[in-house]
This record gives sequence, structure tokens and C-alpha cells, in this order.
Amino acid sequence: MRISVKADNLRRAVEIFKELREKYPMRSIEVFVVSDNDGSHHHN
Amino acid sequence: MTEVIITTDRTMMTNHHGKEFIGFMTTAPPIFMPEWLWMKISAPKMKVNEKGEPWQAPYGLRKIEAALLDAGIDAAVIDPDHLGKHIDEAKVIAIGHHDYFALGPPSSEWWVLTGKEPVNSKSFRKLMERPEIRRAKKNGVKIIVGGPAAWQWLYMPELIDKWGVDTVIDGEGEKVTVEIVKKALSGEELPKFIQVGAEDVPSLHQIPLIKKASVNGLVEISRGCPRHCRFCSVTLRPLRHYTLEMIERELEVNKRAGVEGCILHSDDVLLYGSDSVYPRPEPIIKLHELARKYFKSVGWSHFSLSAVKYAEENYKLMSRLSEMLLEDDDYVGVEVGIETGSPDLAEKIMPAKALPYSAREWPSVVIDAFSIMHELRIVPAATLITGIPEEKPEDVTKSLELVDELKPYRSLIVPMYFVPMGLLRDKNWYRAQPTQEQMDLMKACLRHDLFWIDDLARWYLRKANPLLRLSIRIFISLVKRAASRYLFI
Repeated sequence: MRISVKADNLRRAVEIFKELREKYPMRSIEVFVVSDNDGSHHHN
Repeated sequence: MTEVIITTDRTMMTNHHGKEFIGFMTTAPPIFMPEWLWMKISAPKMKVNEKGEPWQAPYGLRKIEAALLDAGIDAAVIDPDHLGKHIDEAKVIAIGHHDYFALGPPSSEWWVLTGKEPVNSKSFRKLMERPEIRRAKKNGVKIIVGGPAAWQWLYMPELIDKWGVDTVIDGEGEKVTVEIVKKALSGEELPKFIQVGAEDVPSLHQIPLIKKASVNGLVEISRGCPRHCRFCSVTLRPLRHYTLEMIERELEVNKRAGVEGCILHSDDVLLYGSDSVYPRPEPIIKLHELARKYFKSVGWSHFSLSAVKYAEENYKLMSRLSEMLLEDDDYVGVEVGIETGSPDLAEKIMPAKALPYSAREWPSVVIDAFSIMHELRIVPAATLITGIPEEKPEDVTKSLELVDELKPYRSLIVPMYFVPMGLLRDKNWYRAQPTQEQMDLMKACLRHDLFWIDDLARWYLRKANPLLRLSIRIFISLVKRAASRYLFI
């Protein structure tokens, strides 16, 4: 199953994406940028 | 009307006058000539139809086009000079590139050595700042970027913002791009970044077949590589070999379009039909018989050097291929990876590259393979990596020694200087200077290349147009003069 994550801004999305790629090089990962500034959270 | 435009900048949307090796010039800044002439030589415009579709396009873009068309989406590859014809109706622009920002080798290396930005990244910036693209963004068009250099956007978040890039797709994109384009067309929320993992990689029969001609007739025969070198992302992909029927359909597409030759593309053409690191003669011979049925000129993208040695010593396979493809005074080129002359470094970063030989034997495998190819008039264009984190000065010295030992063999050796990822966060990353050993290695490669360049240019350019031939010859003589004056080569 694809790892799906939200981040509250672009720079944070870049950081999260880099971390997840490092950790899970073989998994599908998607990172959304949300505009409601609710911080980042995971939902698989 | 085209709903989905697939495009890229001029350094990619070109067939390099039918001479793909000239494409390497697009990774460098202009040297000894103005930029317009450098671009004219390395990235000439291609003929287009009335819609602005180029008659040949990069294979990766053709795959995305095929995937979208198969999914019933109205998509087409459009030349960057003809975007205006579609921009007011388009809903998505999909862009691919080998090296968006010149952060990968050899572009990064030329940038470090010359202090000047290579033409590929300049050309890409010009594309993104074209009025048509700006107008498209104002119209709400979604921009999706991908291809082998997708990772570079992670180091350019300000440009994601500035240019309004909606989604970056990193990995084999055929399935995921269709999904994202469908979401974009129906107005759904798009992820900013996607990594294509194993669950989203297309299986063999999900790989779409190109519907229109590819640059210089390139067709893929396999995808993935079993050698798992640590510096290479291809090894993260499962190994899949196309069936001969699939390959034939793509050869037919190029033949019908009037392309005059074909390039068989794989990360190791000699492992076609094999599920291990041992080449199998029968599928390889059948593959070449098929390609020859359609084209007199058949070329290869990549060989592994251990497969060259094994295939020749066990089956005389290289001799058979040479007989099948070459006429009396001809050469045929292929890209190969030396990467290092150090057995220690080979054991660390590419322990399986020498298989079925041991990593400790790597330098002798390289020499034997070069010797075999020299005899058979196969010309390797070899890469040699320097600058990766595990490298020690003594490893570079070993590579230098190997380059000296390869002097008798007709070839080109291109050093690939890796800029450490950590440095790319700094906007002045290109001011990083190679060590003395790394500079010595680059000079040794240049010395080797200048030794062979006249012989190779005579062959490579013999059917080129006279103006191109003259321009390249003048360029070579200027490089030689500068090398002897400033580099003491």
C-alpha cells in the first residue's frame, strides 16, 4: 500500500519526502501539501 | 485540441543530427563558440507536423504518451516551439528530462570545471519561462514533471513554487502518470511528490508500446538490472525482458516513420533473455536477427564489461554480433561502465558488477573486455566515477593506472564527477573543487580521448553533413590546442 503523508508547507513536504525515500526506497510514497496549516501527519 | 501536452526543452527534443553521442554536448556550457552555434550543433530543431508534433521524440516521453493514449486520454508530445497551438485548450502539461538543473554527471562536472552553467539547464529554464507556460498556469493548467532527473526538484523547491509545478513523479511513471493525469483532469487534489515503488511499477505486459517514432530509433528491450550497484537507481527496479513481439511492434513504428536505424536499449543488452548475470546466446542472436530485419544500422545502448568478456570467451558471441552488424571498415559504439579501477572500491560499491568474475578481478575484466571490443571494432564510450563518498585517494590512483592501461584500446573514457548531495543545498555548489587526484584522473581521461579522437571522429562523422563535420573538427582541434597549452597534455 502506498505511504501517504500530508505536510503543511512545501519545504516540510520536501523534508518528509526525502526522509521517507531514504527509509523506504522500494515503497510507493506520496506527499501532499495542505494549506490549512494543521501540521503534518501520516495516514496509510 | 490536445488535453495533455507532453514536452521538454530543446536539448532533449532533438535527435542531435542522428548522432546521439553529440547529445553529450548539451550537458556542457558552450566552449570556443557562441551558445547559439553550440545549440545548433548539439540540439538542432526537428521537423514537426501541423500540430507541432516532432517526428521523433525522446523514448521516455513516447512511453508516457502511449500510456495516456491507451488510457483513452487525449495526449501528444509537442515540440517546445509549438506549445502555443495547444496551450489554451490544454489541461495538463507533462514534462520529462534527463537533467533538469544540470545537477547530475557529466553536466555537474562541466559546471564545476568551467564555472559556467551547461546549456541543458539554461534551455530548461527558458522553457519554463516561456510566455505560453506562464499563460497556461494562469489558465489553471496543471504541471507534472518526471523522468530520470525528477529527484533534482527536491533541491529546487523555490522553482516548484515559482513555476507552479503541481506534482513531481520519481520512478517508472507509466502507471502513476495516468493516475495523476486523471486526477488532474477531474479536479482532484494532487500530491506534490510521488515515489513510484514496487507496487506501482508496471509489469511487463503493463508497459505501453510507443505509438510514434523515438529519437534515433531507440527501442527498449529490457528494464532493470540484477547487479545492484550502490550508486545506481536502476537496480531498484525488477528485471523485465520485452518479448520479441513487443520489440518488433516498436521497431515497426520507427520504420514506418522513416527512421533509418535502431538502438537496442537496456541497462545491459547482453543480458537480454537472461534471468541472471550469465548472457544467453540464443535470445541475443534472435533479437539481433529481428532488428536487422528492419534496419541495416543497429546499435546498442549499454553493455556490462563482464558480460562482454563472458559472452566472448564462452560462446564467441561478441564475434558473432560483430559479424552480423558490421561491414568491413565500420565501427559500432556502445556505452559501458568502468566506474572504478580500484578492486577495494569495486567490492564496496558494485560487488556484483564483475560477476561471474570476482570484484577483486575487476580491473582485468575491464582490460580483457576492452581488448575484445577493440579487435571486433566495437567502440566503448566508458564512464568512470569519481567523487562518491566511499572513495579514497588511493582508489582514484588505481583508476588512473587503469586508464593508462587502456590506452591501446580504441575508446572514449568520460569521467563522471559526483557532486556530493549535501552540497547541492548550497546555491554555489558548483564552486566545489575536485581534489588533485580527481583532477589528475580527469586529465588522464582527456589524454586518452584525445589520443583516439581523430580515428573516432573520422568514423562517427563520415555520413554527417559537411557543415557539422567541419564544426566538430574545428572544435576538436581547438580542444587539442587548449589541452596542450593549458593542461600540458
